[in-house]
Amino acid sequence: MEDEMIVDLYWQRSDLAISETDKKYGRYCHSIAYNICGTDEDAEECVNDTWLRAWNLMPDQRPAVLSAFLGRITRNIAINCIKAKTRLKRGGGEAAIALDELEECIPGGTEPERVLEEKELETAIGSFVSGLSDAERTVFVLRYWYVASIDEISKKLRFSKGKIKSILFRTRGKLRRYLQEEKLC
Amino acid sequence: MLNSLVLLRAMNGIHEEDVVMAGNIYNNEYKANHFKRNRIITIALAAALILALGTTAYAVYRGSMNTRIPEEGTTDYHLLYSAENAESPELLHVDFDRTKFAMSFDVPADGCFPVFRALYLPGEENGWHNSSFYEMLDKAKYFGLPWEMRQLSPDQVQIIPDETPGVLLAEAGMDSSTAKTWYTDYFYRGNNGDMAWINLYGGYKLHGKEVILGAFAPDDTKVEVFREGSLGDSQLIEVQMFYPDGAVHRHLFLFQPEKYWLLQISGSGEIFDFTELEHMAEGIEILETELGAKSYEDKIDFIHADLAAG
Repeated sequence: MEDEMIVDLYWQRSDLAISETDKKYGRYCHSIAYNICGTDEDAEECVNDTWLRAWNLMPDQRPAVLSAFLGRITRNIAINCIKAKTRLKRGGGEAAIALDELEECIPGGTEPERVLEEKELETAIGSFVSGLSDAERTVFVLRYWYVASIDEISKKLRFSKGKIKSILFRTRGKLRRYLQEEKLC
Repeated sequence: MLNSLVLLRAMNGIHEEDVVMAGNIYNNEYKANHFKRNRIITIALAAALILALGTTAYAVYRGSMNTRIPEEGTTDYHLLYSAENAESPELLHVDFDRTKFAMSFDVPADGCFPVFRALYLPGEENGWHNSSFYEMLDKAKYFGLPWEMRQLSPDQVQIIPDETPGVLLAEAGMDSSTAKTWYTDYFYRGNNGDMAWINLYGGYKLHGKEVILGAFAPDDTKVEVFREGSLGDSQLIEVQMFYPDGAVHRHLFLFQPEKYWLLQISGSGEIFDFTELEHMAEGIEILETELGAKSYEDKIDFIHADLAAG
């Protein structure tokens, strides 16, 4: 079913909305949640919460890109999940490793949330990612939006793991410098 | 950890189109299929290329690896870069103004295999440190081949996992510890998500001249020097890299240290054997040019405008 039709179902408050969403985007959202949470159970819970959240948001919202809309909800729920369970370092899934990597983008351990609102940081990161080359952008988004493992990215892109790590290493360095230049941290 | 958690959450700011682009690769197996399809196309292209080369191979061979000075006023200044077209190979002609060399070669449409790469060889007169090569790479962005390069010290290289410096050099019977400086380059082509290659280059003294050789070897990759010899007037090293997943890549390094150039041709082992890579190498014409920096820039600007108009 086309995304637009699925969104229409939400707006019509049809029961089919969630089943059709699950059929089309269940695996997609599950993989995002699983990458962050690290367990099937948590991921399943996140996906169910995603459908509920989507049901509550539509209407009034009418997402232009349903996959990104749902994925973003799933990410937020999954991040909240690991935060709540304080399982960041151990057993926190791929997110724990990704979080460790991202720490190096923040100079001196400054708390970015004290310096600016999260929304500003989001805007800055959006601009930063848009300015990357296609390769860097793809790898960066796969790693830090989808929280895909290095192995997965390597297989999807047919790049060596070393190459993926190298791209991420360089891009994190750029992000760090970018945030410094923008005085965001 | 809280910091990075905030950053992870802030990744929500990544624009939808960027998320969707990566998501297509991540969720729909688009990339894998795309590559498979491209490989088939590449095989066809390679076959066509080899056939085409076959008719001229002998004639080209006699002169291909020899440098020659074009007559004044007839220097080939053209730099062609056609739009991505799966039906026909692209002709990419790059002039190196500082080294006075030009290379002309066909690039398969998928941009992945084989990879042709011209490398500038540092020497006493034309070193990395005069920034000319950086500038040249920067210019390359104009015709769709964005490059990035940074200089790394050996210590810095050590901290990048899997970028084991010197493996190739060491396997080639050379002492990588004498390599003075390391560089990484990123060679990307972004059309349809296609991407080609990172390599690591190290400065190295060979036969009294400073040259560079690609040396990118992830963990558990076995590197085998298949052959060392010559092709035409050039020195040749053929290397096979065996990856843990069973993939084999073959690299042909062709170089003339006294002329300060090196050419790398790489291909997937599933598609290209060394005989084919050598055929391709034979078909590459390397010219001395009279291009200066100014004419080079003018030409690039012209191509840039042309591409923009197109």
